[in-house]
Amino acid sequence: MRDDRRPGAIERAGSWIYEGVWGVVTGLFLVPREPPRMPTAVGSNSGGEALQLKPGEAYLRYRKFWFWIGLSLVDVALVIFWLVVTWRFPVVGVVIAVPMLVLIVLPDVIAYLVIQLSYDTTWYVITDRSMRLRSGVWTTHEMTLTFENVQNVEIMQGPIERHFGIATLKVETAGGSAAAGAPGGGGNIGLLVGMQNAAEVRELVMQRVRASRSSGLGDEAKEPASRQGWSTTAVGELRRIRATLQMAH
Amino acid sequence: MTSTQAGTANRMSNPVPHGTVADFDASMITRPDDALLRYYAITSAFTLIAFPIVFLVQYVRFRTLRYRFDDEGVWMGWGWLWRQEISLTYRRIQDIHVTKNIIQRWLGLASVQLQTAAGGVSPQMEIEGVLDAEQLRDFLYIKMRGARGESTAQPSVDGRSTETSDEVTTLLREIREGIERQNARIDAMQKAIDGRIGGDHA
Repeated sequence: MRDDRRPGAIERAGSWIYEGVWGVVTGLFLVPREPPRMPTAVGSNSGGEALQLKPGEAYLRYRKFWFWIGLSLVDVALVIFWLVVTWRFPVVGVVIAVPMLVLIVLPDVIAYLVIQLSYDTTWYVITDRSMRLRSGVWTTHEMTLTFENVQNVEIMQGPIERHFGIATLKVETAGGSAAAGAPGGGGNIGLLVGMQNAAEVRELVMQRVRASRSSGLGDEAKEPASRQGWSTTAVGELRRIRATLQMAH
Repeated sequence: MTSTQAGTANRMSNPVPHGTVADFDASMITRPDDALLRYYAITSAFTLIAFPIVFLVQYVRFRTLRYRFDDEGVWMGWGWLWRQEISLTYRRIQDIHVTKNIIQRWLGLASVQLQTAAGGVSPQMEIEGVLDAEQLRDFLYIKMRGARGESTAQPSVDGRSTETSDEVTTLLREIREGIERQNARIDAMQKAIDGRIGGDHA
């Protein structure tokens, strides 16, 4: 996933520090570093190969873009506040100089790391029957859903997201609850944020959703009345027979 | 609710997949782990002055919380003065959420939330205090609709077993292969005739 241009000294040092942070976070905070796995079910005809997706690199740039905007606003406000205090009460200004500096710098560092970490711990695993979405650093959140239960799929993109070339894919089931705490959505909503190939993934998901014929509300898949008693594979065979006959002029 | 009754609940008769889920028996889960009480103590300590009341409520919940996983669904009940019981079937589960905050991760706990299609502001069932949350999640996932591909096969609602449709499919395939062989023979014969006619002309 990493870009293949050679990292400079600063980037190398950054990655060293970052790896150290990773060590602390994964060790102390027990953040899972590996993508989640899906169990391969008996009767599933897939080879068990699951598609592992992540938000695109552009999503990281997008998050950092907002980070820098937020950082400038907050830090400018804090510096102005400190200047005003120092101008009015020079002694107080000197005393609070160091705490203010910490207050300005520390949240920025933490926020920056959290952005990087949340990017690295976000995984979207798609199998032929289901999806598992995981994200989160402080609270890890994981959602598992089967395509059988998917109600609709939506792509959302704002102007700034469009500039960065990313979009959010929203997969909704009929599960109804607002508070299950999926990041950015209700409990019945699976969000694949920062996808650079959202349309492609949507097609993939929809193709697998279309394979199921039920309404996704717990009812059984029913055959259309016209093919009652014929299995899907049998109907497929009939179609192939027709095609074979048509080929034989 | 007695704590022994669920321990002897029916074993799973369905085949379980190979791998991690195979040696996991959800019907053994009847009570939350003691770690949940520690978790409740820590979280209610954050409420500072309200700690005694909050912790008492949480303690009662912990003491009375019972689970029962059987072949078809899961039952959960808690409460003493105000009693609450929830049942749902695996097939009605819409999605499974597993959340772990940092305290839960330290204690090895997780919250497994199951959602059905019923609307509401909170998940329909929240299973707390399970140490093998990942295994429980996979167990539930396998039992969910659509996880095993039954939707692509003919459901045996009208008493027609899948063997019948398999037989139909086999018959049809044989018929198709027969027609293909006939086509090939006809093509070969056609070619042979064309060749002879061409040869006569030359």
